[in-house]
Amino acid sequence: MKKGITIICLMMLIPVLGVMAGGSSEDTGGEEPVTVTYLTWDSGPGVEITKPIIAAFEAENPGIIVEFQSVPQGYDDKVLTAHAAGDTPDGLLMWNTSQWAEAGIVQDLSPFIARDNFDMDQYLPVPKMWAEYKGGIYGLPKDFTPRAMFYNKNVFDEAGVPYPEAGWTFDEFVTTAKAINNNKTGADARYGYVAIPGHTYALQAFIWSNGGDLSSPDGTTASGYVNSHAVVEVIQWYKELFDMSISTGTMDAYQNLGQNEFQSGIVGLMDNGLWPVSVYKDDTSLNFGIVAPPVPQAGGSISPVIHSATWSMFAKAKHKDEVWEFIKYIGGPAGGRVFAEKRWGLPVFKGMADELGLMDDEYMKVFAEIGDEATKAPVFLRSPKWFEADTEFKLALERIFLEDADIQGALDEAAVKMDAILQSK
Amino acid sequence: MCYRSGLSDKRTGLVSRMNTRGYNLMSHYSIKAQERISGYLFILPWFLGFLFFYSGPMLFSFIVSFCNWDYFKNLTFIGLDNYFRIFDPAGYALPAMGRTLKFVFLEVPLQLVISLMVAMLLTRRIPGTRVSRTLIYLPAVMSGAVGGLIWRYMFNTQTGLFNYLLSFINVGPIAWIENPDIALYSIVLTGIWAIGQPMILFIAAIQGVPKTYYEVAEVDGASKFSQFRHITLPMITPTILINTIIILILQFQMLAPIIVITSGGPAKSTYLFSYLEYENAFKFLKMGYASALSWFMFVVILFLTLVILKSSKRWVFYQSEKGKML
Repeated sequence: MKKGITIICLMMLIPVLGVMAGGSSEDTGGEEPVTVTYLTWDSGPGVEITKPIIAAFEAENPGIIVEFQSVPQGYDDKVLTAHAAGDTPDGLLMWNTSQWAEAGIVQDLSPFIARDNFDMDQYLPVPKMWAEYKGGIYGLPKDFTPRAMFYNKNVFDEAGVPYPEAGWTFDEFVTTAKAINNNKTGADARYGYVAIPGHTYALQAFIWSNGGDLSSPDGTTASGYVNSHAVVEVIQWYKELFDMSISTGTMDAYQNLGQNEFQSGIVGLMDNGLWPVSVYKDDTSLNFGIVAPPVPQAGGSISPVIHSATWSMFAKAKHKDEVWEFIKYIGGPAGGRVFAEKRWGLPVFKGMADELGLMDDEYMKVFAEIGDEATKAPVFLRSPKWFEADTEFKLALERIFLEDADIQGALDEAAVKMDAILQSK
Repeated sequence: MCYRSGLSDKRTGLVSRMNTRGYNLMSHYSIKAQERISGYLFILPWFLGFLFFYSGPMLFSFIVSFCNWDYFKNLTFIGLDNYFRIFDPAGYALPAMGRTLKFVFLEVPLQLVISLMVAMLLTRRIPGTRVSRTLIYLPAVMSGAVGGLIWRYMFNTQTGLFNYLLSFINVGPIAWIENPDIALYSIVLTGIWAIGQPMILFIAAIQGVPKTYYEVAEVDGASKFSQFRHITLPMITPTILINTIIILILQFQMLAPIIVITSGGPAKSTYLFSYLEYENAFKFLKMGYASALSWFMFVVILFLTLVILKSSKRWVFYQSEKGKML
């Protein structure tokens, strides 16, 4: 027995002796490579796409190894708890700049950008705004997509309704949706649109197009914005759409935005980013098109909302210089080109969509053209308190859409509560 | 008649096995002392786990509940403000607690009755009971998020299983989780998938009822229902008590299905207290307030548990050491 214990102890000592002898420093000229850890919400293909980028980066930077940690579920919770525990990875994908910058979770990259004279002007303005908060720059833009209207040509043909064209109006949208509705139930039912109650993100583009907004530019006031005439008009219009749309009010709708219903031909129109395009293109039975969102009145213009994210650094990163080198690479033109070539999103670099021939792709072209119209970043980037304030706006919308509450009254009530939240210390 | 004979044999067996393996330390103590030591040894792993992994965070959250700790920085002491905020009539905490109590009071009897019925069925000598037990227990080992996703698909108004089945009898479609008036009841339904654990405890309890009782009752001409009413039910009351408390606590804390299925909507109709806590902690980063909410919920659960325990003296039948029913 004692002999056995002695042998086990000796075996445990072997790797320790190996390290003491410096046995693993052969490849890096005597220096241990630094392993940079990077947190991502992507998994599967989203992580696969980064592999050639990482390989190219590591070849150029032999002293740095990059390890991606995939957290597809509960990503935000993981970020918050890792930060609170003080043991974070080095980098992270970030979407809610205002909240995580205010909380001190992410590092202001301005000093690194200034030190390396990194060119921020190469980015398109709105994705660049996504990374900015109170004068700091908290990441490099990854890619982006505006929201557009998908239309199912099969459903339109079946109903004998002409396909929508850019420049169509709010009223024409309602007329189109109404014409597709066949008032049947079950598998034979056809609906014009998937309208989601309380979907602030989608609604803000229509509100901007109508000349309204959801908060003051500094994000501290909702009164006079969420309950303004411009917003009430949009909600009235959307209420009419909602009442004749496919029944939605669930997380299913919030997360999938009616993708399944659209693909299966139950609905004719769907508001979404470019994510489902690749899946829809593979579905040979689905004949679909994409068009710009409607404008309030004929001759008006759209003010689209985009979705984006940034390559960011944890404030408590252990290898800040090394992770900055990686962020510069994957968030720079070399990394951005790979994502754009794979049609993962629109490139955030000026001129890259043309350069890569995306304008020859009938679907990417529409998204790129809508993206060119974008001038505003989403409201939540103005204030970290927006997320709490938004629950009041969503509640008002759900009361209006689901319980037929008075529009102006519900929005007035929400505005007061939202002000209190946005102005709280 | 000695009701405890089976148990006594097992206990004696345990002690004797311990002795034969050289653990003769116990033999110095009386049977009662040995029993007490054994009990403490059984709970020791849980106690150590609590001490090392739970007590620290609990103490910290208690301290934080008296502080403003928004955004993980600027920890400032604010006294009882977070607790006063819970009782703000214009806030969401009290309505959320009211909704949670309604949910729990529906969920506890539902799970108790169904798990007991299933346990009764699966203790009969009918084919397929082992497979059925496994299948019914399966959701208990599934993550709440995965279970919630499956329920969400089944609830889907257009393509869900429930409305598909109802269509055969020309009922529906029902907006299970889209109608604020019925969404909470739909969430209550999902509790059916949580019956695995109470069912297992009920099966063990039912199988522990001595067969001789039923034999005597049958000789006396008692019907099956009477046997259930007057033998099974009283004999398994300790298990009903423990299941009631476990289900109560678990349902107060139920979160993952809510996040996945409704996220508290529509129109806050499923906005339960656990979701309010989660939202404040992880969406609004108000850790101080979220900690106060957690401690408030702890007090509510503790109070209800004590009430149930106190009431149990009236309806739970324990057996004495000498085999008498207390």
